Amino acid sequence: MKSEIGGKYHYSGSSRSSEAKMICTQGEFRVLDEEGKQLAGARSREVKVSSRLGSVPRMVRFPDRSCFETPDNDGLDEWLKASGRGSGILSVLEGKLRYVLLLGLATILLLWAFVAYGIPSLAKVAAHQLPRDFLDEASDFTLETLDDLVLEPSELEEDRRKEIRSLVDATFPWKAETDYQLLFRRGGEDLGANAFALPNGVIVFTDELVGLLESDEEILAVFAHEYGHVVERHSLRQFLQDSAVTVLSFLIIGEATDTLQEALNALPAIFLHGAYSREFETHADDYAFRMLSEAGLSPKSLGDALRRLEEEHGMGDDMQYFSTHPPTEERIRRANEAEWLP
Amino acid sequence: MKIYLHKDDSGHGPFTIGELNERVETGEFSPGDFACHDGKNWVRVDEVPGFSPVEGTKARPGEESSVPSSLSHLGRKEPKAHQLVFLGTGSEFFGVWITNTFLTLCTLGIYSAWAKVRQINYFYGNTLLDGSSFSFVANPISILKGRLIALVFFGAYLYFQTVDPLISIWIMLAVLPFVPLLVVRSMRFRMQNTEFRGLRFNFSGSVRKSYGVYLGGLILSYITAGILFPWWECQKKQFLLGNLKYGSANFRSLPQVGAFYKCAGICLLASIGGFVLLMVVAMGVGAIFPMGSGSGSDIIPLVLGLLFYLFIGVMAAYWYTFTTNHVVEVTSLPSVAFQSRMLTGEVLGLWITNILLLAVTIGLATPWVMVRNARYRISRTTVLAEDLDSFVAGQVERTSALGEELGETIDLDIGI
Repeated sequence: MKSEIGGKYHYSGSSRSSEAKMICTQGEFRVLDEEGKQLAGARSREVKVSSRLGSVPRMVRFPDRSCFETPDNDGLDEWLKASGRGSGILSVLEGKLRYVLLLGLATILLLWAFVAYGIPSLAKVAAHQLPRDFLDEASDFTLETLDDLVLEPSELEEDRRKEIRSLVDATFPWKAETDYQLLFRRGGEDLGANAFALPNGVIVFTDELVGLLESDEEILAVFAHEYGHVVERHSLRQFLQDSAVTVLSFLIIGEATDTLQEALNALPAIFLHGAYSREFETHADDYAFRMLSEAGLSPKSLGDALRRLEEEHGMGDDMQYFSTHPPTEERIRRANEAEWLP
Repeated sequence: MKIYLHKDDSGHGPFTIGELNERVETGEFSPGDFACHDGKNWVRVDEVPGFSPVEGTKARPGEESSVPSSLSHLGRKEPKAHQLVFLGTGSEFFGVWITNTFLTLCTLGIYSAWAKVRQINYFYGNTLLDGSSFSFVANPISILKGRLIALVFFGAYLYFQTVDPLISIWIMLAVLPFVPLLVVRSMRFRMQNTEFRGLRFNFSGSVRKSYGVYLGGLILSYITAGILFPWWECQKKQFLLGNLKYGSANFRSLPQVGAFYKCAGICLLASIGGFVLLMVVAMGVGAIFPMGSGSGSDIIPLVLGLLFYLFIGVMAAYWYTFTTNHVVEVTSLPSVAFQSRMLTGEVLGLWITNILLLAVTIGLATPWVMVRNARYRISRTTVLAEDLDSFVAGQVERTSALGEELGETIDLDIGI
């Protein structure tokens, strides 16, 4: 063990500083100037020592608010150990290559587990806890905004609307599990043939969609898919998951990005938005397959509806990583392979 | 005796005293350059013990001008130049960063407050001025409380951004009146927890003044269609730097409005020139490869987009470099002056390599990027001081971390 440690003594109450050394005798830390005169002293448990952090100089703070700064981390740690104070587990973890590699690996695994399982399951729990009023209000806002910006009033005949509503009610008599409300709008140029669901159970079909689908089975299949989104609260979960990823990426790389580099913070959320969304679409498809086969209908009709939608929209598959929906071919294949007990 | 020299923003040496004398004689160095012979302090070459001035190599008259004009009030005593030194390394900081990230994930973000203190301390502690380091002594609990409140706010903002963007805009507008308050609280928290030689910094800017500078300035530069924007930037810098305190000593900061306008003018002219150039290039390229001609035509918008982004980058780097250098040089403490010698080209190079590093390693290079940023900024800063010993402690009222954390959430850019 060293008999003395070199460093600088910072006087209390001013920026005055001088070269000094510290000695440790009988559990007491004492700072001496170059001539051996005592500048400060205290029992080892009365001094506060900053925790070890890389090769950053350490501060030994005395009760009189003066302090001793030393780059001799090892020498100081030996003294602290002798007086029964550890140097903390953090600096050990941070400083040893094998721990750092291990932690790096663990962090990547943890991050993956978090993104793939942790965030989705937390979001699922949270989404089902949110009160009904909240869902209603949020959904009303969304619909109002869409009505203002994109959608136009439906031009479908009243009879046709009634017909579709009673078709749905008659086919899925057990739908009382979660309320739903089927609305019709004109999609216009932006949306075209489309359907979407809001968190509070509002399901919107566009006139173009009703016109495009050729059989009742296809209409029921699209309804079942959207109803799956409602029951599983997918839109809320999507929002919660996107937010969690944004917060996470800020926590991890937020400090490194300044000015122009800040655009990078949004990348993880953009990448993962598509991945999460594709998973929800697959789940909604599965839900629809079950719902259809329980009503005695073939899941294949969802595949037929998807085929028509693809022909209408003509979507390519070249932007797979950003796409919010799985490739249509894959979805149709799953529809054809889905179990069906007529 | 090993002597290191600092000339034209780069280090030289080590030399023996004999070699130093020779090199001064050949004119490679001059007696007015800065040298370090004791491993701690930077002094003028002619102050190095054993330096024997040869005839004709006395300090040239122009040499004095390397000491900024803000030192002229300091009196007769020649100040010493202390080059700020950054000792941290990317690989060492990687250990700290990965541990922080791991523990933050394990605790669902709660540890992030402790991680923040540790991370700031890594950068402060590795910044050496005259052989002493800085330290950050904030209480992580205070940061955690601030972060939790900020998270609620951020959550509401994100929620309405997806549900009803109009409301999220209203939330931002509702926060706007509080920005000046947040700036003051955030600066106070940061400075009161920054320590050098056991003495705390502080921020004495008043909330009332902050409203004048931030809200008044915003409104004025908005209604004048940006003509007053450079003036506003200048006011903000003056407010932030001129109200710093070290112990009981007040910083003084007198940025020149003219300098900000000159910089903005150059940016504006370059933007017009750049825009014309880009249009010409775009039209030329369009003539060679008409749209939809197949091979290569998809690439063109991408290349033009990249060129545009690069151009914005050059402008931003120039503005950042010029204003930072200027603002640092006009800031002083009693008997202390500062110099900043960043170069636009170097800053731009740093930014571009940082973005590439982060993109290629999907974020794993974060620690190296942070260290590179800090090292560049710090190694370009010099402190000229007669005496760093004579500052005394002042009164400090504690401030909570709420301002700082909320400020970070709404991306308050208080860069000094």
